Amino acid sequence: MRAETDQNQQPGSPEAGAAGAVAKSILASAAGRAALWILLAAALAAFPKISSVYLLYMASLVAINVIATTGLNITVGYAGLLSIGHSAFIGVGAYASALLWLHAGTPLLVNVVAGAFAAFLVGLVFGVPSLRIKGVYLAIATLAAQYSLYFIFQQWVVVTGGDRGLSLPRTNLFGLGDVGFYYFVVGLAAVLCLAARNLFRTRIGRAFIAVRERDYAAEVLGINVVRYKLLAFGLGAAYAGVAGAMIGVFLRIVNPDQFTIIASIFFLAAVVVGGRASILGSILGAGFMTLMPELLRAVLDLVGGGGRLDIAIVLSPVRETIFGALIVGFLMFEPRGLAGIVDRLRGRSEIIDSRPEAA
Amino acid sequence: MAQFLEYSVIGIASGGVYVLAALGFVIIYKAGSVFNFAMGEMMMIGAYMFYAVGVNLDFGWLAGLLFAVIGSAVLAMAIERALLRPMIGKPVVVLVMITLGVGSMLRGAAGLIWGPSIVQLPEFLPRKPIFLGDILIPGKLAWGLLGVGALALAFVAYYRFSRAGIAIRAISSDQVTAAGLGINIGQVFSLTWAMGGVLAAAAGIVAGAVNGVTPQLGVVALDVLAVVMLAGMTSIEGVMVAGIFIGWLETMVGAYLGAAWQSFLPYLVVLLAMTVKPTGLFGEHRIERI
Amino acid sequence: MQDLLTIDRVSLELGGISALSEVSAGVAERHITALIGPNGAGKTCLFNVISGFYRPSAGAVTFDGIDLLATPPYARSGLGIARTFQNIALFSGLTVIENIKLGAHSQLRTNVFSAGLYFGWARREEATLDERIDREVIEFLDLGEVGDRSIAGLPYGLQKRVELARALVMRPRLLLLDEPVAGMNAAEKAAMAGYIRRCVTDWGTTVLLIDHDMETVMGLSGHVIVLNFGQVIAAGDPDAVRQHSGVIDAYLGVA
Repeated sequence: MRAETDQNQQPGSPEAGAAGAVAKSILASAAGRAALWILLAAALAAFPKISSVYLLYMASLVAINVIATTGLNITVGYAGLLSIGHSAFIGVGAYASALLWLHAGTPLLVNVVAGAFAAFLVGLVFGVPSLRIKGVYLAIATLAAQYSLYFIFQQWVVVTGGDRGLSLPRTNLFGLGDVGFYYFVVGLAAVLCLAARNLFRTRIGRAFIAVRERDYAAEVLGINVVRYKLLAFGLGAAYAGVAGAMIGVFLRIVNPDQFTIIASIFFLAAVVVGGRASILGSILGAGFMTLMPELLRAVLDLVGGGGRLDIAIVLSPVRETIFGALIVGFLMFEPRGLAGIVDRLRGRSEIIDSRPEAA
Repeated sequence: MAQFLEYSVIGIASGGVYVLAALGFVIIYKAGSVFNFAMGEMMMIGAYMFYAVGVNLDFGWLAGLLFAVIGSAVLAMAIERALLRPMIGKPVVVLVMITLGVGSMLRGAAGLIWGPSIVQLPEFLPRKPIFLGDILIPGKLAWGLLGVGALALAFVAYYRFSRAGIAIRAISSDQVTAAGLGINIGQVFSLTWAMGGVLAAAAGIVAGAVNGVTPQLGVVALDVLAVVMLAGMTSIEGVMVAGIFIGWLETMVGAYLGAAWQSFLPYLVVLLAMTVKPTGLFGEHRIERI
Repeated sequence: MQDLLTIDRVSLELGGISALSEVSAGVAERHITALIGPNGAGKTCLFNVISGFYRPSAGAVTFDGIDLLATPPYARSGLGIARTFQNIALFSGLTVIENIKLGAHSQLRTNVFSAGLYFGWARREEATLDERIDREVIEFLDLGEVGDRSIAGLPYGLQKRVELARALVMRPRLLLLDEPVAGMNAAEKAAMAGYIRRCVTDWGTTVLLIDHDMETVMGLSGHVIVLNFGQVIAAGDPDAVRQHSGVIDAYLGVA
């Protein structure tokens, strides 16, 4: 949903203005946009040829996180529902898909769908009681989900392998090994982002936004608010399930410590930093949050070089502090996130946090 | 039978922690309608403040206690003033997300300053056990319970009878009219957060005194959540009853059904409360004016 | 003349106060009925009962023979009831045209899967809707150049017209207008009154409106219902109501 205004809301620096003008003219023409997409696709396709093993690994991880973040953005950004248990649903998808593979030997796509479906169903267990009521109850229910699902992952040893988790065999997609996985997950992320984007060209997406802003008015327009909230939340959980299935294949291991409250906050930060109610924002946010800890580790290595700092111990609390600071900082000072910054450079504006004029 | 009573007393005592934290929670919610997801971390920081002055700096437990109480109040007021007040008018989701972010920051900061290992708080509760007939109550527990009880009652008395308390209730009921009557909304917000901070610190210290302190101490907030859901987010009296009850229930479940069920209990209570009576047993149903 | 909407002894309690007491009224089909009264009389409360936000403690509301109170709020739109709000309930996260399209929500059939896919079914449905809105509503309300703009920058009078457009997309049988001309200048009021009249004559819509602008109200409506303190104190044609002593007292604050 992009709302155009006639004039620049935020006059930037001259350089940004000039760059904005050039970008605007390219983006204005359909041919220009098509060319950009082709360029992007080509770049993504060619990436494995020019990258190192490490970069390929990071790119695949970013793609997985893009899927998870996009799902969370549908729930939190577009529909305005706070979900604090996203990582637990990723875990459900991971375990469901891994278990299916290990016990039934089913093909990857089937496992992915199973993961999505399982996460969706589990999501409903927490969504149905909490979304019937107005208020912050979904946040509470998903917090409960986060801890209770972790508990189940850890304690149901017979099924989940407990703390040791599940080990998965190597996959060889398209016969290309890691590169094959990269193509698969990037393709999957692209399809899912496109699908999410499409939602907001239809009544489904419009309904999500209406429910977020003023649910009584939405109700009057014929939108079953509870049903649409459940749908938005369920979709987010389903996307999480897909991401979970992928992370299992990627890391070849599924264990409870991958799905903690810190991870849920990671994804919330990705949504907030990238830009709520924006597919581009989901991509930017996922990219930023995935790469940022790597940058952080590099910085800490530099600073703590010589063994003065025990990186392992320090990294986790530093990450927690930064995630929290990012959420607070962006909510207060850059509510439209990185996508909003991109929009500003392009000379457009979009309102997502507005309140109605006082009656 | 004696064992049942003994467990019961332990349960009630641990419920005391929940009562304090839940009171802090409710007072903040009543005035500002903000669900403070950083409550657990505020408890944790309160305990660490006590530790910092009492042990790190070795000034003794009294100084530690004082510092923790004042420090927590100041921290809470700072959070409200700097991060939440500017955001009034934004959708509630945004405010709640900010408290979530704050919680994460506090956890991270604590981990950086004090590390992940458990630390023990200085002994300040008398060790001498109390005997109720045949039942032995550990001294720390009994005195802890007394302290908690006193603080809770003092708080409720203040809330019920002081002008500040009336102001809080006025704002909770109808913010616009309250402002129109000359009540300084900003001051009341600061006050409620300060109170929340103090209560959180007290709860954190008692919890820490029993189990030691780590940056993960805030996880107990889930039990507090169960209490608040059961009682209703706006009921001061309700959370006192619910807190004791949940504490008691948890101990009972842990004693007779095992630790696994004990851990699971809060989630069950939360989901059940939400399904059956979302406004809680004693909460009020707030009508939205359209 | 058949009453499309019948309100039968509806009483409503809100926070301990009796917001509506035994309110009975009939809204004649294909006519414009006005609901007036001093501030706080309960007019918007009655609208909210019809919309389903408040549950009355007593009484019945019937729409075209259907028991409205037994119908969930989100299903009432599908029956052909549309509404505007006192404080303009437009969605700022959507453009003008997207807001208007929301009016047709209950008539569209796209589901999650066809929406995600988009190309094919959903796209066709959107295109048809686009075309219908252009043809029927945009022209009707003179909203030509506004389509892709964001709600935020729009002048007040224009926003009100967009909200009306959204209500009209579904060709409602009953249109509930809450203060349609509030805050408008004389020209805008006349224009809005014209649109409302044309809804009735061109599309056979039934209108129930609340407003404080007596000139507009009396000029538009064939039937006027007066509320005060949650009770009906007068009902009839504009001239009769205008001269009713109880009504005069109410407005002067004497009642």
